[in-house]
Amino acid sequence: MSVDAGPAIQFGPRAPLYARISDALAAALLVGIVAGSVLGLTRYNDARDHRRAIEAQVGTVADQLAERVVSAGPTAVEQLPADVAAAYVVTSGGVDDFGIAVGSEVAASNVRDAAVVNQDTQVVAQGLLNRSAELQDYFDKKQDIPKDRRFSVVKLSDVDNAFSATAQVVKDGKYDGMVHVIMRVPNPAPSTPTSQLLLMLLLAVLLGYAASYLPGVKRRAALGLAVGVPAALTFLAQDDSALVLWPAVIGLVLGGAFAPGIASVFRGVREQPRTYVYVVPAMVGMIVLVFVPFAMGVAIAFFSKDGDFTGLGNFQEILNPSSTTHPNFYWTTSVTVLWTVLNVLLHVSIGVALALVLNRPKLRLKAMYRVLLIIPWAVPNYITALIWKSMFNQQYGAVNSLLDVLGVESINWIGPGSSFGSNFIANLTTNTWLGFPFMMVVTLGALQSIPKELYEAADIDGAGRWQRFRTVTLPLLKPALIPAIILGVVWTFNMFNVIYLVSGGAPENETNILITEAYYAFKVLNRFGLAAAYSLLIFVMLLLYGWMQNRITRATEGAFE
Amino acid sequence: MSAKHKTGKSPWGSVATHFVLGAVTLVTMYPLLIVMRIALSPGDSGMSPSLNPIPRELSLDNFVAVVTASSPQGDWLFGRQLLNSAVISIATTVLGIFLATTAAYAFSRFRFPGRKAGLMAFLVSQMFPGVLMMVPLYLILEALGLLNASFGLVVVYATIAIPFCVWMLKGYFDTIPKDLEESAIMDGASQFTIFWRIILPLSMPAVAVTALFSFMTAWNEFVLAFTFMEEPTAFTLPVTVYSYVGEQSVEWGKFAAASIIVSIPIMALFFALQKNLVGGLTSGGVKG
Repeated sequence: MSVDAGPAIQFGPRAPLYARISDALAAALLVGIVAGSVLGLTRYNDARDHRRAIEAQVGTVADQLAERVVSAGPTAVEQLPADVAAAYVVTSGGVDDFGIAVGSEVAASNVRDAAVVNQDTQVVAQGLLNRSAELQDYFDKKQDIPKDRRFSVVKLSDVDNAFSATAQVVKDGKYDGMVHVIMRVPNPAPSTPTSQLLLMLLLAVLLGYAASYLPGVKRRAALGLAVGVPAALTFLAQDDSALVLWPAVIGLVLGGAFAPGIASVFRGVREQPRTYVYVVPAMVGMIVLVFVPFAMGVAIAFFSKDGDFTGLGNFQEILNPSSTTHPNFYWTTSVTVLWTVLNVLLHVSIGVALALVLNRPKLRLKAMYRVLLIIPWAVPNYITALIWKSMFNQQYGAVNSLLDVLGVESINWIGPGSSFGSNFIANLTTNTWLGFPFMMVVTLGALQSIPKELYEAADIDGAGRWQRFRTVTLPLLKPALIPAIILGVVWTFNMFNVIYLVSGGAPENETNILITEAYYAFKVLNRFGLAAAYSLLIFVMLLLYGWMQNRITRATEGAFE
Repeated sequence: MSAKHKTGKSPWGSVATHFVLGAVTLVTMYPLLIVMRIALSPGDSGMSPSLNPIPRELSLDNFVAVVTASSPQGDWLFGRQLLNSAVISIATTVLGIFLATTAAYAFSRFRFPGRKAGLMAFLVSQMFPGVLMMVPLYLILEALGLLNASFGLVVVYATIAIPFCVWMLKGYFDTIPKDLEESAIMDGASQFTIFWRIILPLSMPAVAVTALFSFMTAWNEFVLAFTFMEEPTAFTLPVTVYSYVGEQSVEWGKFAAASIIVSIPIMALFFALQKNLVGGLTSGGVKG
């Protein structure tokens, strides 16, 4: 990514003040992004560890209270210290058909000094009651924790730093009620204070300012240092040395590569401020909500599940899978490529063919056909996916009913025990259905802009139908189709909803594409670092594809003029 | 020979064309007809092996159940979520149009440092996998105090829609001749006047498509809405639609009815704007 050069500025001892300030700001911005994203991440990990510790602590209090209620009776609740709000809730309405207790009332409570949790004693008691009604049902569904030891911890949204824990009271093997405790636990001080980051931003400003005294490549190198050094120093207090090394390297590279370009943008802001007024709102939004999250995501890819820095560990695990891993990265990548190629081929060929037919000058009912054929695009794609999932149902699905009419035996498309092929076809069918209208609309638009004279000329030359398509239509469709194909490839490559909702990766994750595999790592394995590493690999592949496609076809060439 | 090709007057050719188009349209519409059948049958009975898209027994029970859905606390969930969806989608559309048109105007008409990089960055951002962004977005919204707030979703949706809309609009703006602006400048018009009085009115088809995309982004999204919102009363409608066939339950009848309700506004917008869609999209972004 190169940045357009502003007016030529001689860097060195005579550079103007605003150029120095621009360099200083560029260095500080990059330090903010590099150090800020890693800092945000370590904070997140700290907070999560803290949260787990609290959950264990509060949960244990509830669990022990539940035991004491069994042995010492309901008054055990009242003996808890006043900084813990606790209540013993028993069911009042018996048990319904499903064995779920109905209705509840507070049998005992220690809520005397309500100031601890809330201003009003009533509110706490009522809050406990509400939570008990809510959790009743949840408890009976959750089977994996032994019945007499079950507790859950929830952070209260309406009281700062307060956690509610609930444990079930079981007397003589029978459900008797539950105890709730609400505790307030203060947040710990962060291991890297914000003031340290602010100090390092100041250092970046000074170093960036100093860099502008150097000409040419020296300035670039100095800007690299102006980013790398403060980024690394932010984490000096941490005991993990990798946390110092990596920000240094990444900062050095990013600073050297992008700081001069960013500085030229800052200079541009000073030279033509009115221009930037138009771009800044969108750019700020994109930076805060797209590019910074991306930077943080990249940082996450270098951390393990427990928040330890692992360098390239996650990537190694993906790219160098053990022989028992199935499906491994290479299988999934092959499936993803096959999925993308087939889909885009089908989208384009169906879309172009329909557009050519719809573009006939004297076709009746043209408007009606067009409206009806655009519909799949208008249906939200998660709904489309679920609709097709029902269509592929072995018992009730329309697809098998149709096969039945044709005298073909019904197929287990996506059910348990179904094959890779049938699942893949189900996914492909769904995505083809929802994807062709986009290509059709793009082609229709492009066809309208082809001058009729060209066809007349072709007719005079005696060109046949196929020849006219090949020599006139296709070359003129290309400028519209190629960017649409690039977009189509990117969208299909990351088409999470269809795979996740139709086949769900069945059988055994074999039909997963890379993005669903990343989600699997995130949601099921609970390994966000691994998911981020997967995502980063996806991004690199797409970037390479876009770059190559763009070089070959020069699709975006005109856009930058 | 050539006359025949050009007009396709042969009656058989025309019949064949309509036959093919009719068949494709039927295949396209069929899944939706089945959804109608499932929605209009009592309970889940519409989920049957029959190929006939007409329900055997007509009933609005599923629609009634979806529309009157309430929480255990007695909140009218459907009403709240419909309101959330509408407010969030409309706010996203307004914000999205504002952000995309201004940026696209600058990218189309001005030359400034960072222009090429900015356009490139917008394009590349389309390649960022969503899974990568979820946790960081959560942390950022938390830091900004926008978690559990509709405004947080609005800002996120609007930025998600920006890159595509900016490219599309920029392409469209590029096709508007500069002569108009030059004569306006002669008359002493400011840059903003040109943008507001000349460029925007001439680009209505593309602006309409931008509006449609921004609206769709917000109206159809459910993963982020589900992740960033805690209370069911703060959810948007898609979260509920998905929950009918989620991990807990499989209620095809309710799902079908809810799908139809959720899809109607988008379909209506598509029908209203479909002419613009053809024009706005192609002379725009996809041309490059």
